Amino acid sequence: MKRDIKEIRSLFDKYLEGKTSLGEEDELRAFLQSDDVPEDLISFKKEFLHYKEFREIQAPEISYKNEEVRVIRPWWQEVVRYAAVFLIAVISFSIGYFLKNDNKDLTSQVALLSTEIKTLKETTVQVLLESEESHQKIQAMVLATQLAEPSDQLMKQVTRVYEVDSNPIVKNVALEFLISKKQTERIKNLLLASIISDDDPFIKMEAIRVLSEFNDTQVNDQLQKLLENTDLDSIVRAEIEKIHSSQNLKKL
Amino acid sequence: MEDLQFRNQVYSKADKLYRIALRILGNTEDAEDALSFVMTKAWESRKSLSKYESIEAVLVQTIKNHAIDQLRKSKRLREFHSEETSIAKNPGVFKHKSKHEIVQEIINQLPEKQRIIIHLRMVEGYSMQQIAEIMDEKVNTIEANVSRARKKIREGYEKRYQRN
Repeated sequence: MKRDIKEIRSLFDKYLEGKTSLGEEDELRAFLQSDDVPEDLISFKKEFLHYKEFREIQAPEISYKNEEVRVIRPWWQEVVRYAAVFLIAVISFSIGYFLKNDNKDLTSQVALLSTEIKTLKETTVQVLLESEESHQKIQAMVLATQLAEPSDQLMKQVTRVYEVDSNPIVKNVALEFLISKKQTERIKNLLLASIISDDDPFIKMEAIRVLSEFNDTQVNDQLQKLLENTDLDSIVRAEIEKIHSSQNLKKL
Repeated sequence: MEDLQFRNQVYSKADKLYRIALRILGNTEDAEDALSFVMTKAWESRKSLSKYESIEAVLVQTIKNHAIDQLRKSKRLREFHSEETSIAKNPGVFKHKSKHEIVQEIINQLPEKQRIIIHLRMVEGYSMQQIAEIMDEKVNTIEANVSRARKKIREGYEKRYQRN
């Protein structure tokens, strides 16, 4: 039997007292998955989303060979390890080369070495971004922030991750990476598209929040246009209206 | 316990054990080490494992105790070296700020016992009775801790949301 909102609220009170059964907590979980969660219950929604996200974490592979149990490290850790070994080898070789050649043309050799290191770092990031594992993509983008001038290809790859990945954490890391690299136009287009096409209303809300920070008339007009869409989530609509009213207040 | 039985009864719990270690230790590398430790221990004592009524409870208890032990050791080391926390150092799971990260941060600030209890209940779906057995506490104590933790998460979220 479906409970009305009054019963749901009293179930949340029971939940806070630690008295709900596992079955009742399942009912609350199902209720929080709907789009019509009242604002005062949003904190529960966030809390349950966090638990859901955590439940999806899987252990690394385990092998049993010759009476030995071993946790197999993710392959990307091996990639990073080999990349590090390769880097050390390149640096050692270059130092040896400089010493042998009496530091002739040192500047050009250093430049060459820096380019090689940059290429290697970027390749590692690109390989990790292709992974299906969220934590590997996150690791890739954290590594990518260390690149002073990432290539356009890498920017496109991160943009694609934001577009297609369903994990909000991965999306947020991708967004932060693009913000850190000042990809303003790319971000605006990406977020406007996300408000229309994304399934998760919270990702849409985050997109609206970030867009509002640009304080760009063109972006604001496009947000205003979205209000004409009758299929717009109520929570998203409320967020756009809230931002517009605060901007109007500022103008006054 | 035969190899196949071991795979069915122990290996199948790996995800659960890994998540518990991750919740306590806060970074993937330490959680992998903890899982490796518990799996090796379980394999070494596989002949005596069958005598336990619930192998899962034994495994959960072992990883919980081992992870707490490791956490305390690393805390002591950090105090000695005045280093940043391992959570802050490892970006894999916890470092990034997202909507759910606010909840993660609030849970990280809960007392150790409440943090573990809330994880066992809300992520792993154990009954209060099972949690009481794992934590070696009375059911009433577990319920009180669950209640305190849930209230702190709600209040913590409301405060941060208002501040933002």
